[in-house]
Amino acid sequence: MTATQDRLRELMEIAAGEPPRSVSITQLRRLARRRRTVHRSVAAVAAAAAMAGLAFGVFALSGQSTVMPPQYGSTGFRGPVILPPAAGVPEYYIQQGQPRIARARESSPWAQTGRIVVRDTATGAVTATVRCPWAGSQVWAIAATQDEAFFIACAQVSGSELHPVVSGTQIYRFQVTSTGEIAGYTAVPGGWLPRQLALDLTAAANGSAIAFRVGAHGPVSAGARYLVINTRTGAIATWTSGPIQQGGRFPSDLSLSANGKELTFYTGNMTRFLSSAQLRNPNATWGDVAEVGPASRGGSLRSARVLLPAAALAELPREIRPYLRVSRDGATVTVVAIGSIPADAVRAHLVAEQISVATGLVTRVLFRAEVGRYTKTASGGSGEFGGSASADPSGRYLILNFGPKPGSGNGWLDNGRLVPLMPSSGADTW
Amino acid sequence: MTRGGAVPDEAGDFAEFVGARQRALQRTAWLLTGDWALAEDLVQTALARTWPRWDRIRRRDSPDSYVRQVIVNTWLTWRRRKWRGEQAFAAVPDGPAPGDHAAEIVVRLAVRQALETLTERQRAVVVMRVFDDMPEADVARTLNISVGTVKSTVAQALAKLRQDPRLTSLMDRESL
Repeated sequence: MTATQDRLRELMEIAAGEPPRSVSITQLRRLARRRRTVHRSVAAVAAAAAMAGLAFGVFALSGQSTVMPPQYGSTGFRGPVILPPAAGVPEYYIQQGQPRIARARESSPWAQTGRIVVRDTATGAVTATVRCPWAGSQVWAIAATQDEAFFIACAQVSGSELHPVVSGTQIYRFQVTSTGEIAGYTAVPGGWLPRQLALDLTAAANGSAIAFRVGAHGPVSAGARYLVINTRTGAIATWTSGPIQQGGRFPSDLSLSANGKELTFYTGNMTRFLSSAQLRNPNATWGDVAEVGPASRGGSLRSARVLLPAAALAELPREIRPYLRVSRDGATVTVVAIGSIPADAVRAHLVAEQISVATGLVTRVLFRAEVGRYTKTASGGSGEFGGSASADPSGRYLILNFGPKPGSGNGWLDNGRLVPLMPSSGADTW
Repeated sequence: MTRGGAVPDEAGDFAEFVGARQRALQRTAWLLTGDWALAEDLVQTALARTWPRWDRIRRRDSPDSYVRQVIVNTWLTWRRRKWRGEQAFAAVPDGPAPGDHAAEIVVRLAVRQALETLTERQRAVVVMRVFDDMPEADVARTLNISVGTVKSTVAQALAKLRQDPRLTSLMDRESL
C-alpha cells in the first residue's frame, strides 16, 4: 500500500469513528426469520403487495397522503399547503404587525415596528395587543417559552436610527390566558438595564432563564457583553466575547437549553465585516456553534466548547442564521439559515435542519424552500427576502417566517410539513 | 441446523462472530453509505442473509471477507434502486459526543463528501482495498471484475480524491 493509501486509510479510520449502536442478535434473528418467510411464501408476498397497493390507493384518495412542504421555484410562488393545526399546538401566538422586509436580526437597526398582537391560532383573529407597560417605551425583542408565556424587552429610545439615545430597557414577562388575553405584565427581576438595549433575546423553554446581548446595534470591536438572568431570583451572569478584530468572530444567535443551563451561540464572521473577496471564500464566512455551561456561571465565551464546527454548516445558506436550538437531550442542534447555498448563488433558500452533535451530519431536513432572489454586494448581501425563526409558545414546534418575495409565509413545522399561520404575511411571529 | 435455509436454533458461533465483527462491519458500511442508520440497516441485512448459510460460510477461510462481500453487493443493489428506503426519523440514534470532537467532525465531513464524488464501483473498491485492506483478488471476485480493473479503479479513485481540496489539505497535514 502506498503512502497516500496509508494516509487515506488513517483519515477513513477517523471518519468512520464509532458506530452509535450495536447490531442486535435478536433483531438479526427476526430479520432472518422474516426473510425465510418471504422466500417460502411468494404467493403470500404477492397478495400482501396487492393489499398494500390497494391500501396506498385508498390512503392517497382520502387526501391524507404525504404533503410536501411548499416550493417556491422560479415558476412563481405557490401558497403554503393548508393543513389543520397539529395536536398540541398552542391556541394563541404573537405576531408583529408589520411584515419584516429583507433584514436579519443582527442588522435590524430599529425596534419591532407596527402593532404587536396576540392571535388565535385556529382563526387568526386578534385577541389582544401587546403593549409595553413602561410609558414611552417600545418592544425591542420578544421570546416565547412553553405554556404561552412570553418575555419582551421594552426600551425607551430617542434620537435617530443611526445615533439612538437609550434611556434604558426593562424586561417583562406576560402570560396569554386560555381566552387569548394578556394576564398582566411582570417586571423580570434583574431585568432593568440603564442606558442599554437588550438584543438577540432568547429564553429557556421552561422560562427559568433569559439571555441577551447588551448594548448598541451591530458588532463592536471592544467586544460584546451577554447577560443570562435567572428569572426567579434575578441573579445575573455576564459573559464576554473579548475584543473582536476586523473579520473576527462575533457571538450571535443566542439560544438557551430547555432548562436554561447551557447557552449556545454561533461564532461566525459577520458578513458585514467582510470584503467581497472574503465573501467569495466560504471558509471566511463559516463559523462554529459553541456552548458554555452552566450559563449561570458567567465568564469568557472563548472558553466555550465547540458543538458543531464550521464544516458541519458548510452546506447551509450562510448569509443569515436566525435560529439555533439544541435538542433537550443535547444530541442535535436545529439550525435555520437563509441565503444562497454553495450549489445556487442566485436564489435565496430557507433551510431548517437538525444536525447531530456527535457526527456533525444532518440527521433530518425539517424544511427547505426557495424564498427569494439573492443579489450579492460588496458590503454583504441584499435581496428582497428575509426570514426569521422562533420557538413556538409550547416549546415543541419551530415557527418559520419568510417573505416578502416571491411569496411570504408563516407557519409551524410539524414533521416536515409547514402548517400555515393565519394571516401568513411573513411578519415575525412567536 | 435446519434445512432449506432455516435459521439455526443454536446460533452461538454466529452470535460470537456478530459480537466480534459488527463494529468493524458497521464502519465499512458507513464509508459506503455515509449514514449511520443506513449503515446499520446494511449490516443487519447482510448478516441476516448470511445467517441461514452460516454453517457453510464458517468453514471458509475468511467468513469476515464473505460478509463484507455481501455488504458491498447489497449496497450496490440498494444504489441501483430508485427508492433506497431512506426515512426521516424523529429520534436521533446517536448521543452527544464527549470532549472536543471538532477535528474529528471536520475529517468525517471531508471524507464523506470526498467519497460521494466517486462512482459506486470506485467507492466500493476504495473501501474494500484501502480501508478493509482486502487483497485485490478478493475485491475483483466480489465485484466480478478483473484484478487489473481493481488496480486501475483504485488509481482513478485516488486521483479523483486528490482533487478534493479539503481532503487533500487533511492528507497533507502531518497530524490532526
